[in-house]
Amino acid sequence: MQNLQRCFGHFAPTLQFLALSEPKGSCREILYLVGLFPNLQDLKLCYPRPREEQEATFNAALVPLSIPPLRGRLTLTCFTRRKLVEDMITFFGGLRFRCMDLFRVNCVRLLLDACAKTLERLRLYPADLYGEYFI
Amino acid sequence: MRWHFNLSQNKSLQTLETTAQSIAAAGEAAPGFLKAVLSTIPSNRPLDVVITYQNFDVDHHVLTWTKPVRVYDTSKEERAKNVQHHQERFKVFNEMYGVREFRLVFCADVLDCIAKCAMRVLGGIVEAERKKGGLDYLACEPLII
Repeated sequence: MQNLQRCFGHFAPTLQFLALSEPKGSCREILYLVGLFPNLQDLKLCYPRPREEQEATFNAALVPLSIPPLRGRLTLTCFTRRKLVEDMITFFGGLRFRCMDLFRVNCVRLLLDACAKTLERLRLYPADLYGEYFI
Repeated sequence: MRWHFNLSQNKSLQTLETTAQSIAAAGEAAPGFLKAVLSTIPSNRPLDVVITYQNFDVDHHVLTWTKPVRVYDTSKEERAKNVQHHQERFKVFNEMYGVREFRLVFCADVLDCIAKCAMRVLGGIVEAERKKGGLDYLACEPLII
């Protein structure tokens, strides 16, 4: 985690958009990375295909260093990490995204409920087999 | 199993967006899906439904991995397929409108170098449909952006 701070810490004052392609860390590690940027507005997490959620072991003492505003756009593709969303809600005191772009996401209901008061724009896909029913 | 895209609790939704390709890919499932989502959005607020058209939907292929980026027209067969997809989508929009009123927005999400051409293609598609009377049901003019 010290490495994350050393590598990306200098972006902390300015970074507003973070896109992670197939992040492999635990939920807490990803949350820690997100929390490194106190001005973050937009977040994008993309996986190549949906898969069984497998939570890597995590350090329970690892908590984000800040609560970014995250009032912009959330883009999730083939995303099955419900625990990460639950942790974001817990540690960031809820979610406040104005725009969401969701494709093959297994926690749509949770996200829509969390952003019920703030969501202005939703992009969805009729071809999303998982959009209607996610078993 | 339960319905996930239920927006009945949402207090601020202004825009529902999807892609032209996704509607075509979903085929017969598309109207049912979109109508079900629309039916959950309270009808007391204005709503924009934005359909995003990408390069291929407006008859262009783009190779982004070449330098410079290479753009060329789709083949005659591909254009004919696109025409068919446009017609099918207009039927979907009509069905959607039966559930709830909205403003239809056609959005060209394309490379800058073909933006003018894309707008022209979208304008042509909308105008052709209007001449057939296929947009008479709309309460307000569709928007092309």
